[in-house]
Amino acid sequence: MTRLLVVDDEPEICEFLKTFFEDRDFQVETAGSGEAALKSAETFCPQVILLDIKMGDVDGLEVLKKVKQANPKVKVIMVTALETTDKIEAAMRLGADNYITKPLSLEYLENDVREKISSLAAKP
Amino acid sequence: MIPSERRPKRILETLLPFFTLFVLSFTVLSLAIYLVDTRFPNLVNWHPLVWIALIAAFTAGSYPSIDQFYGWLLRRVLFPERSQVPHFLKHLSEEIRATTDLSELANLLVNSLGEVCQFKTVSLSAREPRGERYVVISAHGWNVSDYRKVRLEATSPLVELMKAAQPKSLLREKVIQSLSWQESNQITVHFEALRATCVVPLWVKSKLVGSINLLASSSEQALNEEDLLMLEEFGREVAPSVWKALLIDEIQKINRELQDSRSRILQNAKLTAIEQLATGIAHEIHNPLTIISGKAQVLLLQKDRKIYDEKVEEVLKTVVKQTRRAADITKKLLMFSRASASPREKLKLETVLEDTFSLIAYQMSLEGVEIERLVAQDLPDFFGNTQELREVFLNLILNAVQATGPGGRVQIEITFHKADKVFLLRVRDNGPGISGENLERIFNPFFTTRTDGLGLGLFVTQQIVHRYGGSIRLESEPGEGTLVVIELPLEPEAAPNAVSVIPEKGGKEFHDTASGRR
Ligand SMILES: [Mg+2]
Repeated sequence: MTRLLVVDDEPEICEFLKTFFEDRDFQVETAGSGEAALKSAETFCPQVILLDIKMGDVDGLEVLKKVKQANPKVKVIMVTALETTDKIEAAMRLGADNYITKPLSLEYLENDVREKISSLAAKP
Repeated sequence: MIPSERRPKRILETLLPFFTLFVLSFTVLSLAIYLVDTRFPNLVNWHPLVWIALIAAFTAGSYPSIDQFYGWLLRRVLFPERSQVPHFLKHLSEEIRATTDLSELANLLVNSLGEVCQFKTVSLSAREPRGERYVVISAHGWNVSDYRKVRLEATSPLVELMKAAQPKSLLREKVIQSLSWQESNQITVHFEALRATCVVPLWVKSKLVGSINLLASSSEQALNEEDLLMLEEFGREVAPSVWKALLIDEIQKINRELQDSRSRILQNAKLTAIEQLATGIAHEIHNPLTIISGKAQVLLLQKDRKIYDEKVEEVLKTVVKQTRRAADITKKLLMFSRASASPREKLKLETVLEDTFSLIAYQMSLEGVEIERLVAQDLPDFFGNTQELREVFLNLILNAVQATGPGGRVQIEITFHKADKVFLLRVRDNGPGISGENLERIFNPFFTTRTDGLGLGLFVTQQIVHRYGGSIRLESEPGEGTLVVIELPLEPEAAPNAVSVIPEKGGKEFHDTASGRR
């Protein structure tokens, strides 16, 4: 089973994403802050992280930097409210694997997550 | 100065000396023969040719003084100068003093002088109030496009000469004679640039405010001392009026510039406010929208879900669709906000038009609108951003197509105006047209007459066109269709720096649309 970490400071967003992916046989954990995300990344060892950029405490970019440092193989998909921010560029430079804008298209998101997983499996 | 006045005098001037000479020669000859015959009989034996030679020499020697004598007699005694010219000049200077509009004054001056005095060309050059240069404002006998280019720097030898000769006028022939070969060559160039053989300076106190430049239509019309004095007097009379008109014109120009920059600042303030608002909305509203749409999608996409009532499914789908639509508003707003300055490159406008066209060709064929494209041959390259320009074309075409409806006709034209170095884009439709009231508000953001429109198309188009230093205008009458005209300069000035009304931070956060959709 694929381990997926959902990070967003909006609990409701975490909740429906968890419902959606669990329905598709993912093992899902959620984190409502940057700090919680870093903790989960260590204990839960997710293969894919859905990471909100704008959060109250530790910003999504900060989380990205740290999780990629700890484990470069983890796939990170950034979630943002705006497509045109330079934060997206910064995230891509920091090694984010993709980004998706809100409101989310769950079908698109699912495809993207599966793609990342298969690319993980393809590599030795 | 006025050729027609001279004709009767000229006939007398030519005939009288000859007649006098004839009589004089006859008298002298008879006297000589008489004297010789009575007193010195041995001289009669002289050869007749000697006599003829003597008389010819006498005639030739006395002709100039006789001619001069008659000239004096005719001009000063019999026909003293009762010319209409001084009267005319006085009248003209009065008229000029009553005129404050610069171009009206300049046209009056050059055309009156040119037509009445029959100069080949007359031009008025004047100092730029904010600069040192002298520019030709109006000219009689030249093409408008020719004289507009004529400029004299304050340091040019001709201007220096005028200053040195204050307050006298300059005659080309005389000036050239007094100079070295090299200097006179230089001066000739300037006289020729002004197409003048005579330059009458316009002085206001110790300031040279301009000059009247004259070219005689023939050498017979050469100006004499008296003419020059008259013209200099005329120059003194009109110089203050010319200067006053120049200053008024300049004040009006400055006023217009102020108004322009004021409206630009307002426009910028409006834009950055929209930008700020859109950014805020995106962050604050996209999250709730995500939740609404996300939960609906979870229900719709649930595995092994029980079959919903058709109506419930319909509602859920509508929820997803409408949240997407709401989110699009802020996206669209931000995409074109000032902060997202896009990179520019050399491109062909016709290619951008073709691309845009291929994007919507299918939709157009469904709408049943006939679109005609008229693209001029050999258009120069344009330096711009493909995305932005495509947006311009797209907005204009879609607007036109939506205006006409099925069976309508739309014409798109791209031309290049060489003289002004400007591209002209014209989009014409035969739709119902726009009322004057709506026409005034047409560029306002969120203004729309359609129920399904956002009202951002023309606003965004205008913003883009302004970014290139261009202009856009709409011409429309109800029932007459609509014409949109866009002018884009070939060499756009660098995008004017945004006069930021909000702190730098607000503009910086959302920067660059270069990172594309993935
Ligand atoms: Mg957030």
